[in-house]
Amino acid sequence: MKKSHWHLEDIKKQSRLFNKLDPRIKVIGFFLLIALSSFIKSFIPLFLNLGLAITLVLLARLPLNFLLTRFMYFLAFAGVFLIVLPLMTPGEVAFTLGPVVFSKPGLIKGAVIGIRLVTIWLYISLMLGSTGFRDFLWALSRLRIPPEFIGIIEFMLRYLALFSEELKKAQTARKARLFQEGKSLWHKRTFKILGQTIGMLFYRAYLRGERVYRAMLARGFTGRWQVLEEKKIGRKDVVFFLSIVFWVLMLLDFEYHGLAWRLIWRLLE
Amino acid sequence: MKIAVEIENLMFFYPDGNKALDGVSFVVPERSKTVILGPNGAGKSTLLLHLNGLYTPNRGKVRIFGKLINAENIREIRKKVGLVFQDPDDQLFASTIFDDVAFGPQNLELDKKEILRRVEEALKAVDMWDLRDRPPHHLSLGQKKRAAIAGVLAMEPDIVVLDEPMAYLDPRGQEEITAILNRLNNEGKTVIVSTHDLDWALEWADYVVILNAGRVMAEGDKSILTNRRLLEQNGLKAPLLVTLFEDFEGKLGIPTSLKEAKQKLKKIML
Repeated sequence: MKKSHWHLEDIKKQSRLFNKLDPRIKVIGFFLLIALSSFIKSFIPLFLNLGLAITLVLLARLPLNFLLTRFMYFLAFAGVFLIVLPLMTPGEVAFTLGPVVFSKPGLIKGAVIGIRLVTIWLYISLMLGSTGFRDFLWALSRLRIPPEFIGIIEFMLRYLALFSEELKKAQTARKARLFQEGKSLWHKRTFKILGQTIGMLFYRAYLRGERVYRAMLARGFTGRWQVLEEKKIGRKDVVFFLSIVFWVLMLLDFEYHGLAWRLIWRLLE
Repeated sequence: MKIAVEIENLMFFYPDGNKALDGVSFVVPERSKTVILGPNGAGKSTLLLHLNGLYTPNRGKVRIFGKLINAENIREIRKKVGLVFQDPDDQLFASTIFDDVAFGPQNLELDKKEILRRVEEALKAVDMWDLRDRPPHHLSLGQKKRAAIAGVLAMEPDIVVLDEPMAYLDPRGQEEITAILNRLNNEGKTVIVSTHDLDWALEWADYVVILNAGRVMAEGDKSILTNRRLLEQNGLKAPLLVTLFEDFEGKLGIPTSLKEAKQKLKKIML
């Protein structure tokens, strides 16, 4: 199935292996894996962790299109660091491209961060793709994340789509009246129009917020968010969670030379 | 005739001092299909927001089934009066349609079984059950409007108020909404709709209130929609049936529904 825009609930239905697991366990489990990915620096545990992420994604059969679309967003934010790091980090010169010098420590740093990012992107995709947005929020509320925070995530996702639609409409309306962006970055009129558009969006967002709140009050909202569903943690969930804990401890032990054993001994003492 | 809504000398000013409602008084009969008509800026939406206590009048009274709306009974009133907003995107905020429809019953603190029953019933009533797991932003406008109605139906109100439910809908979407409104009325609910579509109002309504510049200009059965002068004085356009039949008023009279118009035409043709 080829789609340009993926809907998380569809991905969840399509995915295998993890979609039936308890959302709370998945959120904690993948959070541990994400945290682990940001701690380790040595190449062997980094590659082992990346290997696990790729294997799990393959086992979960997440659609490639969905993964790539998410990766593009990810790259847009993180890509800059990957390019800049080898140039900015001082140290032994690895190679030069004309006047641009790539340092060896910079390349190593870039590679470490690159592997981390890919691994984290895979784990996040896996967590959201196999859980769906609704169950993800449910898990957060059951894990005692403040309801205001969950509300913000829920509203953001719901209304971001709406505001981007409004922005597109405004752009189309400008084009229909022959507006052309300035060719230089310092074009005064383009800046003015851009500022007005952003201002209009903020104002509309404010008005929309007022109306949404009124609509919530009309349906008896008293300021308390309720959770309807209950789920039970089963044997499969426990096995999944313990496997992740084992994996995390194993890689930490590898990275910090015996850390896991030291932690276990301390717990047993 | 039992009264569902009674409005007495209602005045409302916006914070900027703009007068939105200027001594509005009228009644809505119980189990009626009431239409509130008026041009843009007449005060229709502002008036509707008073019906379940979202706006507090600066002066005047609003009674629901004889009970004056006040801070003590606001919860009770919001249970009785369901308000469907003009733009469904203002109303549908949850991550799925199911969760959004469950939002009202959850606020009523009902038990889980009852919430699930109400959500299922409401979604089936508007033919949206199969789309319950969809997020609102993946629906068409017609589907969003139906989902917004379901969100209100799940609260099982006695009075359903809809602000311009036909706005921007295609003919099929309008038919679907009309069918839902008729069903609600047949179930014994009082349905109040604001609109400026007079053709639709003439066909559907059995009670009409005309609002202009924050004042009630006329109220009564739908025969007032055949008064071209009254309508034009209040920034409204006479329905097509009225325009068509007014030249033959002496001979045929002016019909107040398509069915009646057909009968009149058949009579003279056959």
